Amino acid sequence: MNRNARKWWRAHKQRVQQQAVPSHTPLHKELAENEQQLRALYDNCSDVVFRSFRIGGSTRALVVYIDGLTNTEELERNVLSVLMKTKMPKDSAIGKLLDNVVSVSQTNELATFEDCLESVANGFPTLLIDQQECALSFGLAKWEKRPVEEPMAEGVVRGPREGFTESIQVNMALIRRIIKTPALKMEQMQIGGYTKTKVVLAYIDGIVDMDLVTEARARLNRIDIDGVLESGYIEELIEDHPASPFPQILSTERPDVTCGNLLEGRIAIIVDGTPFVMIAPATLFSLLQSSEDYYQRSIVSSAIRWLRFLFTGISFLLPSLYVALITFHQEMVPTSLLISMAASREAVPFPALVEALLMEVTFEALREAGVRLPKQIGAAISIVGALVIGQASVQAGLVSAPMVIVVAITGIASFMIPHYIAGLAIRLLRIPMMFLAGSLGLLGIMLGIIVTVIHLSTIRSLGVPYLTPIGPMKFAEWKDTLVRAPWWMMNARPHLTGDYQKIRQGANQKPGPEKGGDPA
Amino acid sequence: MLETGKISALQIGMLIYPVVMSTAMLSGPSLMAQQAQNDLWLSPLWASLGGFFSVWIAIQLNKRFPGMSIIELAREITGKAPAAVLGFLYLYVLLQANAVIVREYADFIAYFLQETPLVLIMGALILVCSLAVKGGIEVMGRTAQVFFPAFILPLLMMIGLVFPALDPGNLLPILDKGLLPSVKGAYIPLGWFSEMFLISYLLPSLSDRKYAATSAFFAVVGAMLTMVIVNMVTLFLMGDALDNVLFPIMDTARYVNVADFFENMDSAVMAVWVIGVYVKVSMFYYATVLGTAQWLNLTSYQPLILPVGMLILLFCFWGVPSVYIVKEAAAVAIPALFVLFFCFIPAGLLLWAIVRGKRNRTEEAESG
Repeated sequence: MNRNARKWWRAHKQRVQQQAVPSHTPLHKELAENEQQLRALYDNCSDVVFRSFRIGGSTRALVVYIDGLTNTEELERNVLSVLMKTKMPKDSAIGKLLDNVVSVSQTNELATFEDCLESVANGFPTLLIDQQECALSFGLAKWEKRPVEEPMAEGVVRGPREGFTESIQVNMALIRRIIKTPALKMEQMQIGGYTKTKVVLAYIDGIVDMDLVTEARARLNRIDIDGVLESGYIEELIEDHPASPFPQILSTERPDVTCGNLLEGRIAIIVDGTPFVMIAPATLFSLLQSSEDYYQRSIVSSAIRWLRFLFTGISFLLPSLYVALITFHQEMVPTSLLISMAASREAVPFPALVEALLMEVTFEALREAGVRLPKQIGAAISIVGALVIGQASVQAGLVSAPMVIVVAITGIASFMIPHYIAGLAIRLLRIPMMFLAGSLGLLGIMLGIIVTVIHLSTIRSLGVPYLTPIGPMKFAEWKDTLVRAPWWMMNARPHLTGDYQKIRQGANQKPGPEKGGDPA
Repeated sequence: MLETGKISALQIGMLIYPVVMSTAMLSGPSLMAQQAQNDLWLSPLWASLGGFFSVWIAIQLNKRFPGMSIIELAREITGKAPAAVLGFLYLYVLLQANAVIVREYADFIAYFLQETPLVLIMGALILVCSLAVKGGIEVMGRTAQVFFPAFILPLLMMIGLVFPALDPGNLLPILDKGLLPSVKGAYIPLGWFSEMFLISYLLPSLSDRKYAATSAFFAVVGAMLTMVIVNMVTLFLMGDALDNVLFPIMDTARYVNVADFFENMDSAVMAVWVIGVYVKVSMFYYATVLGTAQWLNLTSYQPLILPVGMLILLFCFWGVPSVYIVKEAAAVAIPALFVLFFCFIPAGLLLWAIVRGKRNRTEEAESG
């Protein structure tokens, strides 16, 4: 940004703030003045309700709230009706009202217009009383929200089925219900000039490296944006390498995943309005782990992890390997297989590279259409897709049958990656890999792999190298990366950055019949 | 300091091992067999002495001048003008050596991609390596760690798969003509082992310095053992025919046949071997770039990466007119050059430093 633009931006911001909020203007003593000012601010806001009444039939008062964000029943029962019947205390201390009359659990005293606007916007009905220089807000917010449901994108067979919702209060409660220690800290801040979105930075004091928290807090505080609609906005503004296709922050819909990571010393960033909670620092291998790995038996989980690694490799390389073998290294294909492959490719008019690109792009289009299209016609697209991709194209002689198989396996493989975004990154890299394979064969694939590894080695997520624990090698952490060791072996937490609490649990917990029931 | 990254001793070992092994694996057995015949398994033992020597020199120099590479410490020992000349020679040798390595790689790849122009094959590799050098020592160290198993495991697997066909009888008669042939066969690998002196450029960035010697020692021993094993396997498999085979390891790979499914794996060996070449070329590349920046007293080596890459590509054609000259140079001139520049000159510098009692007084303060 040049200097003029910056100047303009600063002036613009001031203008906006003057319009929106008379910042830190204290409330007046006269109710009429306050009401006039508030009505001016909420000009043309048909959803804001101003209700004037008299406390005990004498003192004038005003309740301001937003229709639809406030529990009006509670407001009527516990505030309005009680106040109308009572007498305003003589010493005119507003605290007395709170102590003796209003039966609402969460109340706040507000002194400025800014506070009033914020409290009204959050759904808290705000009470202004004549001859009082402060207002009262009542925690009676209530709006329509989705109930806690099973997460859509991260399913498990065994494990909790609760998923985060769009409400930050519910999400914080879901985490707090699992981690009950007061060491679980949740720092709240507001981001977004207009949306004023609540963002919460959660961590467990004593486990996390405080430098990590300081760094994350600093990065969040430097965000200057007009609105935050999803955690993705914030992710893009705090990550280390914006140009990389790989996600450097893990996002999850699951409270148990969030808590597991908090317990390993990571931080979580919860954003209001989205069920996706961000976790940092993330590594490539953390993106290849599912929460269910820790709930199933360890041997089974280890085997599934290997299967996942294998298919991650397949989803990255299979089409390009096919292209390279067919185009350059036919001698590596066993003779009988080569003959049947050659027979099915005989009628195909395209070179292998074009064929592969055609099919991969079609598959990606089908996938994207399947996500986006209305649920009612989902069946139609899958039928058309299966017919077009599968049978018709082969029968028409446009595509060979082995190519269809390759694309199908690759498609399945890419859905095995537990975190959808990581799968997208690998799918994206598949296309350049196919070009490399089509031009330089196996050498091209190798060079592509080397470049990918160089790139992955360059990335850090909040200071943690992305390829930990393979590069840099940390043998102690292999037992939760290459395999999933049983819980009684995982006595140490993974090392992220700086100082950390290394011991996770007591030693020598391997169960067995000889342990018996006697604790001595 | 130009390089702010830190690497571990383990990473140094894994960086330096492929530097020796990537060349040695491919053409080593036949080159050694030409001199040593069936005693070629002994040659790496003699040659590794050179490796121990150059690594020891590098570590001793690093102890006296922590935080300094050969270019910088030569300035401390000999003074400005001689160091400038010496530094220029070093950079020239590194550049030329790198060009020969890249040319050898390209000539080898050309067996598989006969219609692809050499300049494309070489340019692609140099471009890839330039990315690693741009990332600095940390990125190179991490990639070396990631690739290390990918470099070793296929080799072990291949040996396992040809195991039934091996004939240990080919080893006999042991030392039929005395020790001399095996010592002669050690001449070429001696050049490769001297390349281990490149750790001189890595040691200043080492985070756990007390393990430097251990790691370098294991790298030399590992390279020596691997070479002995590869030599033995190829000898057991091919016997007397070994010295006529250009790339014995490729023929070994072609021999592999598992259930009539995995066969003709030589292209796969090529793919694995590219990993080793990547590490080797980026090590030389990095040493050239960092050395040039130190020689010119620059504040950053980043601007030099692309120009030096272009120079390497040009040297591949200027310095190496044809594949036959490469072979001749690799057999005679290059080992001598490497031994001179990576063993004797550093040893001379160390001796000079000891005699004059010179060492870097500021020690850690400089290296930090």
